[in-house]
Amino acid sequence: MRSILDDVTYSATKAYSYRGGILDSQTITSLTESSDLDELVTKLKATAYADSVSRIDDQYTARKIEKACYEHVSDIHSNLMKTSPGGELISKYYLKHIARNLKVILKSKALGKSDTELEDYVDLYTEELVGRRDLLVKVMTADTLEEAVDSLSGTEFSKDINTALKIYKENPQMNIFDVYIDRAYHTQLVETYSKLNSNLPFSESIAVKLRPIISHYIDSYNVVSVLRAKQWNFDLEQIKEILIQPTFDIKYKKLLDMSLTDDVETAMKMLENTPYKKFLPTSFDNLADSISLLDSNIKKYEYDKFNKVFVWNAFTELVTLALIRVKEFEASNIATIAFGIANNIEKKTIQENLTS
Amino acid sequence: MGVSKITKVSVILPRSHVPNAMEQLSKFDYFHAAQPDSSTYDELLADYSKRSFKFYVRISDIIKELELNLNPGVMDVLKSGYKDSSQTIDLERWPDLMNKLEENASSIVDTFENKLKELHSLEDEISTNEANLEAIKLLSNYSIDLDKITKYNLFSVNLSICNTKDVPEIERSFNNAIFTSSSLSSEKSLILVAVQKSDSDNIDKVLRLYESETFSIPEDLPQNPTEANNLIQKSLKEQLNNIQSLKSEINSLCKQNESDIFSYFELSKTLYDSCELIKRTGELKYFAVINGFIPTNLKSSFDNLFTSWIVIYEDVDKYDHHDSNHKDAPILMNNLPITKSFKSVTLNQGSPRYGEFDPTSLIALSFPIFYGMMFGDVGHGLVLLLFGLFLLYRKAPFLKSWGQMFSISGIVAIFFGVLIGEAFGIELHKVIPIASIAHLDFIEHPIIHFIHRSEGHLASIEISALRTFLKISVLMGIVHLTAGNLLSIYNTIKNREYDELAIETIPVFVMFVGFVFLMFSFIGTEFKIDQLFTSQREAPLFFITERFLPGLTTYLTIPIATLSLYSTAALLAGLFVMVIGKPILIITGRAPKESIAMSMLVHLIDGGIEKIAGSLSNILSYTRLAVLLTVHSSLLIVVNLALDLPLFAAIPMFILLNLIVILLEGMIVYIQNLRLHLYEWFSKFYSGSGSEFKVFPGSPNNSTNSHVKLRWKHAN
Repeated sequence: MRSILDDVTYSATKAYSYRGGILDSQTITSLTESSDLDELVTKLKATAYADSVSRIDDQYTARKIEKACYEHVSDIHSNLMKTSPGGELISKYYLKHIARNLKVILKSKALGKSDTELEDYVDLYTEELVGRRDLLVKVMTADTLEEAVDSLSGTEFSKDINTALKIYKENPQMNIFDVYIDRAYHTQLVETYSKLNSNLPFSESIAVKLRPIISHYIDSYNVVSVLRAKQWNFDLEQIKEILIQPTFDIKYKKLLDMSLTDDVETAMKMLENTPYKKFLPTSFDNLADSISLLDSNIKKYEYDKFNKVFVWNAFTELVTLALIRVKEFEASNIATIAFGIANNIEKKTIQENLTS
Repeated sequence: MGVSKITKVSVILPRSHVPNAMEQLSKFDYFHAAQPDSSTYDELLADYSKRSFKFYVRISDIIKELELNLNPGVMDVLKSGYKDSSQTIDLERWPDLMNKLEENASSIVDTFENKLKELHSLEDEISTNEANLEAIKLLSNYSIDLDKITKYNLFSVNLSICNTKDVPEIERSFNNAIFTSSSLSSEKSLILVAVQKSDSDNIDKVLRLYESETFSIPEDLPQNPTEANNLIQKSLKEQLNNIQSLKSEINSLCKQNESDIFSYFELSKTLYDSCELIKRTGELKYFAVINGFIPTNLKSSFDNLFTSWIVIYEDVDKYDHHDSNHKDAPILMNNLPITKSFKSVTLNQGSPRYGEFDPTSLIALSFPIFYGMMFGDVGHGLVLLLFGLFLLYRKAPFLKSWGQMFSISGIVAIFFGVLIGEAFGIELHKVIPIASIAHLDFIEHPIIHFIHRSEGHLASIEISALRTFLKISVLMGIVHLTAGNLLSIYNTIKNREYDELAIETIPVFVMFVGFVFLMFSFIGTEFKIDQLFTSQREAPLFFITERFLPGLTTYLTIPIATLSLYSTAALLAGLFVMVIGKPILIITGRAPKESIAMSMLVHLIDGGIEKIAGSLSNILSYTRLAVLLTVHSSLLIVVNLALDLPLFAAIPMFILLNLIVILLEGMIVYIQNLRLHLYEWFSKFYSGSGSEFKVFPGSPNNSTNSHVKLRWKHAN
């Protein structure tokens, strides 16, 4: 049920108050300078992550710290979900966490990993906040990959994951699960977005206000998916199947044209007369690297774009979505730092790999 | 008074001397650290920073868990006064800070951490036992035999205790299972799951993920539910007693060590902050460089403390913007004790820029006047004064400036109260018990008779008095804004921005003056625009002196038509210079190249709309002074209706309603006053874009520490 405080001013103010807890560059630098995970956790205890990292038992690992950071983001996300106009969209956006966990579980099942190994990697706390652990628990406790996929029947992921399983059996590429789970998640997002509309005459609908963010998500998903599908030699019909409609700034025809090209490089070059030109890598020597680089460029742009929302779209419906995304980047940065410290990676190398 | 002149200092010293330098910095009154960005740290300071930070986090956790108040609340201070609980820590050398922390604080921190750990584990045990007890009671009610339910051939049955909130999710996690639950407490529930024998592994897997515990009567207890029940109850009783005594032990430890906890908390923070500020000491292997700013007048005392090392001084010219240190120079506001309390009003906008006029001293004059006028009433002013004095009497450092602000504003409110002859909304002479004072002429017949009273009618605001106050408000606005414009000219001259002075600051002031006099003319014509340049009537320039000091300015008369002509000329001249000024600078190469037409258009819009219309709205904004006085008096008229009630009800009602008016009006008036200063006045001359001078954490002048004071054995 939506709250009486379902008001843009309230939710945006709340988002700004969370923004106050975002770590500044000096703190991030100081985190990268930690000599071990113990020191990193001590430093995190003086930040907004204090409650989450305090829940970690004494044996610190990079994985546990990463989990704690994502738990902190989920806490904020679930709080904002209850009070934001366009809360349905933010609720659907929460599926991202379920999707992240599902990818881990299904890939582990495919690789035949044990349940105990899985438990370290799956973040049930995130689902606990929204009362949906049952979905993941069913998948986790299934004995085989097929049973795991079966247990998802009736959920928003069911259809796509069944397709993924079919393709996986023919072409055992792990990333196929990623593509189809992402498809299911993005489909939910775009369907909810299409239903958002203002009830008030003469006022801009929430859908219009949220367009800058949703269009970015859907377009970048479509672009990266087409390129990955080409890399895995999907045929046109299969590519059509993973595309999401309605498209926004990268039109459906353009995506089909990309699909019909002979190779990934040509498909990528077709983006030169689109707004995605700025994300194109300069070299195409290694296809997998080129797609990853394009994906990473898109993410860097996202980080800048969402940070600017607090200034250029202040106190609008966009602020809550932007805050959640910026916090995700922050959690991912801390996870990178934790991984770097645990593996004795040089401070400079860690810093180069952070999104800023 | 104003902003202190600043000198940049760079101390160059052998790396091994860094602790000595830290000690001297901690002894010096005003040092603002400004180390350049670098990823190379002094090893010793980095190590101290890390160690002290660990203590800081551990002590913060204890403070948070014990719910201790590091800073007393305002209400507590008002009720029981402010107790200076600071501890003095004697130090011989700077590393003693770390030693004291590790030697003395460790034992206290360890004790509290252990006790709290013990408390949590006891709480967990109690919670488990309570759930077990409830489960056993429930099983006894249903006559369930625990042994039997595990021995079915076709079914696997599991009885577990889980968190109540997890029950729906657990239920949904099982397909084809018999599931039932019963609440044991608000937090714990007992669940029973039965599945086909072939699915029995699944139960354990699922329940483990929800951190549910399979219920069984512990092996060390009798397996008979009734006996187990008795034993658990007994042990629960013991545990409850234990937790009670542990809590009281923690409480008494807390009382004994509270001041130690706070002082070690501040000590760890001071040490950590000091190290963090200085640790970037440069790339040299054997030498460290410490950079910062000090007030120029303290150069000699800085010299005395740092005499053993190389010190380079660079005075930062307040008005030379080309000085590379100018933009980094921190602002040390240097106000008189009496005006200092109004610093917070200035800081709402930010510290003045280095070289910018600090308006605090002027605010100390205008703020209480505006406040007193809007809050004008002898009785309420007296309450405000007494409350201010009470805050000062409580001696809490954080209430001092509020105490002074309230006291001064209260005095001015009394003055305006006398002017209108009102006390608590009653005629002043009626509430003064001393007849000789009550019968003074200005008391009995107030200078401005603001409230009209007649027998059998409700009191009302005297319209002529309201008009007078509106005029006074507008006049105050004009004076205030003129001062703002003049300060803008002063800042521009001081900062040697002569081009800006010629094309913007002076034209804006001329336009403002022209606009003000044109407005006087317009009022003189009784708002008839067609008579503006023809009317030969006397312009109403001196209405205040005419009202209160008749005859003083009779020789200073000017016809409306003449005044209109001159003021319009001034207005247009100002606008003209504004519009053509920038293009001239572009043509002569004194300003960066840009479109001349666009520049003229922008200045025409800026001068014509923003500046002229802005002047009108800014001046009219000051009418709120009179309007809020009216609101205040009107509320008191209503409050005084309570006096018509029977005496037993009248007195408490009168007091209560007056208190409500004081609180409500006091806050509104403060907000409106802030608005007048921050929006109408500051926008004329004040940028507030400077960065505050931050005193070194260990310094004797650091006001953020209220629980610890450092005392050095050696003065030098």
